[in-house]
Amino acid sequence: MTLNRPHAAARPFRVVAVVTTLVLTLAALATGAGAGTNESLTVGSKDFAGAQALSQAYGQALDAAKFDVSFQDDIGATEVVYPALLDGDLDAYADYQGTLLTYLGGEPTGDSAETYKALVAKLKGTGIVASKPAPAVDVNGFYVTNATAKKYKLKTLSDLAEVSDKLSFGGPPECQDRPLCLGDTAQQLYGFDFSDVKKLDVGGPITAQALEDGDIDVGLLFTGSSVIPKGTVLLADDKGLQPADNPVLLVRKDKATPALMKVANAVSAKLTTGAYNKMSLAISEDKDDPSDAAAAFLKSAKLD
Amino acid sequence: MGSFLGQVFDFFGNGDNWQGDEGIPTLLRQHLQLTVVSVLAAVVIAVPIGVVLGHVRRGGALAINVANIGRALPALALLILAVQWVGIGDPTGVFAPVVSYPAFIAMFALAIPPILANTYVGVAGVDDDAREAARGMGMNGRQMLRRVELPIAVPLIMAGVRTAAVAVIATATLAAYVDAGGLGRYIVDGFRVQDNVKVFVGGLLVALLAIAVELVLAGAQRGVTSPGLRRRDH
Amino acid sequence: MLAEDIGPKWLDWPWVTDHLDEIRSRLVEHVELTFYAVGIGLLIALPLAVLCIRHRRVYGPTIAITGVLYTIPALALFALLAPVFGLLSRWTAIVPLALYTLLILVRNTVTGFESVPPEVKEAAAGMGYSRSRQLWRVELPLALPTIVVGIRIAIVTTIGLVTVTALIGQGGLGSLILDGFNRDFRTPLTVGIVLSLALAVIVDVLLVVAVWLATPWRRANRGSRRRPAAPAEIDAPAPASDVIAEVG
Repeated sequence: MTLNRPHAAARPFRVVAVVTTLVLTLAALATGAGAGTNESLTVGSKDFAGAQALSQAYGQALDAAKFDVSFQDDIGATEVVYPALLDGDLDAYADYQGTLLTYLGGEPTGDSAETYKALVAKLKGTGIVASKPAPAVDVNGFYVTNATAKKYKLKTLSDLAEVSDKLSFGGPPECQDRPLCLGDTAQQLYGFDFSDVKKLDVGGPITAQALEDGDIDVGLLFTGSSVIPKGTVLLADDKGLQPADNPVLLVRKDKATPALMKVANAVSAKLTTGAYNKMSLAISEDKDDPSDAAAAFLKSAKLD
Repeated sequence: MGSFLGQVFDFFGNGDNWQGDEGIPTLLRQHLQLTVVSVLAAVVIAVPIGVVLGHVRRGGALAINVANIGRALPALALLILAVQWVGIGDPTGVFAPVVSYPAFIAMFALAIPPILANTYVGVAGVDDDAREAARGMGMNGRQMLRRVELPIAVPLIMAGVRTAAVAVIATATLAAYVDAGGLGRYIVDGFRVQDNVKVFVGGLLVALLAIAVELVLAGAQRGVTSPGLRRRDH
Repeated sequence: MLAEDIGPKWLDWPWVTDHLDEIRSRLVEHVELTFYAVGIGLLIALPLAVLCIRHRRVYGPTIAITGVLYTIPALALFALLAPVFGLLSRWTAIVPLALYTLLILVRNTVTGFESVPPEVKEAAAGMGYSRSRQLWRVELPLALPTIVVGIRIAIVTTIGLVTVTALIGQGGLGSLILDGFNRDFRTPLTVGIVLSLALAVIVDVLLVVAVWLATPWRRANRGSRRRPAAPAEIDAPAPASDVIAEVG
């Protein structure tokens, strides 16, 4: 232990001092995302392929129209993203009018215009506005393999309800809380009673794979944006559980200038089920980036 | 704040939450079962390897580096890799105790590094003097291992098991993402629908479980530590 | 480990080269979150440790409390803080991450200072060093290796935990991993895992080198009796000398 070399003993002290100062400076900058100008927008997206495609499509169109857009991808379900919009963490995001209306406590119908009207009424006073809905439709679909359909003679959801206690089900984690999935409304209309309910992913490859592998008998996938495995069939929604679930862009009122809404509505107008489907599959099947898939759509729709 | 705690109390008071597939007892059992099975499996594999390596004092760098890398491996990634490998299916028959294949694999992989590293260090770190004394008493390698090295190493091995168990309990919450049940179910579901009461209950139960298991294992550690080695707890 | 077993089809190079920008920004995010978290953890832990050294009775409760914090699952803390700081705010991620580092940082700092041999302290006092000079110039340099072992463990653990923040919509390499999961797409998964491991290893090595440079007298002690190093595990009841030795 040599103490007659004070310089060597001082060295680690200096190292610690420098590092601490650096850390303190960095920590002071930790409060990240600052306030934007009026023209700058943070566009968020929900966490599955279809929703990502939508947010990218609207966002990039706005970017092309000289808005300063930054993206926050893959955040979560409506329950998480919508409050973030209310809080101002986001300025806009794309959702589905039926799903959102249900979340807000309203009652969507199978008619797009009616549902939109109800949504606008619910949004009054919240500080959020919605663009016009797109023609595209993406709803919850109950899928079974051809073999299962044959075995139990399943064509519609009513058929399914009758034998549901013999079958296992797999879907999004929040399914049992969602009226349009296995929650209240679905139970009122059909009364499903599956022997086992597995909590998998949001209309994604895990649910699709489980259905294909036979780990589940019934899988919840999205009709417009999921990769549907071969050899499966969609059961018809004979009692009209699923509403008109058309995409809309939700925007904070203080950012929703007429110019912005004009761009958003233009995108909605061109967003058919086919175009939406194409984008979604490009993302989940071809592994394209959501931004590329959306760019391709905007180009073909001449909105870029 | 008071009303939040009130809601938490209500959650516990609600009889529905104590029964069924998503009741507290079921989730608790699944969580504990997954932990016990994974840690036991890790002990069965890692302890013998660590003991052998420690006895011959080879491969120390390997053991320590495995421990380091193990700490850095994102558990989420392990889980996802496991799903890619074995899918999500219900283990049946003799494998049923495992609760969930991908979750078991991920937790097993998580538990190995601390147990392996601590076992190696425990055995290899036995004082040279003690070994010499053992040799002087006429013991061969195996006897030395059994009567001298292992008893001295046991506290450190148990410490590794404790570390592994607590890590697995906390990380098993992620297993809910692959439908493995467990208390993570409350946290994941609660977050997705922004039900903070559920999230809080889930987090609280996991923390309590971890503390309980830690205390039990600490007692077990004291129990298997040879009296001559027992130190005062600080 | 597992990624190697499964083989090269897990890495689609064209995707990687196309997405270098995104990969780089995720990596930077990850590094930032890690360093802010450990930095703030240090800011809390070091004074706390000094308090524990001066008032021995505080140590037990401090370890108990930080230990309990450590048992709270990360996902739960992130989820609970999201409404407080805002879902997309960095603080939602940083605060829990910093809290998790406290146990190991406080423990190793206290152990480091306590393992300074009494003769050294006496010698310094005998040479007329004031109390604070003694602390800074004599005890800290000797405690430093143990403290740094704690910092290394804290950093490596935090790097692993930052990936969990992707589950609440934050970023870092966890976003790549999650994307791979959501789309059944193995390349981002591989990239995310490999980079997190690489990051941990590189930072660890850098710290080892930094300590080696800052403590020349230990270099002079090489060649003494070989004994395998103790990993300074959180609960290891190891004697003080084991804790001082470095990992790996």
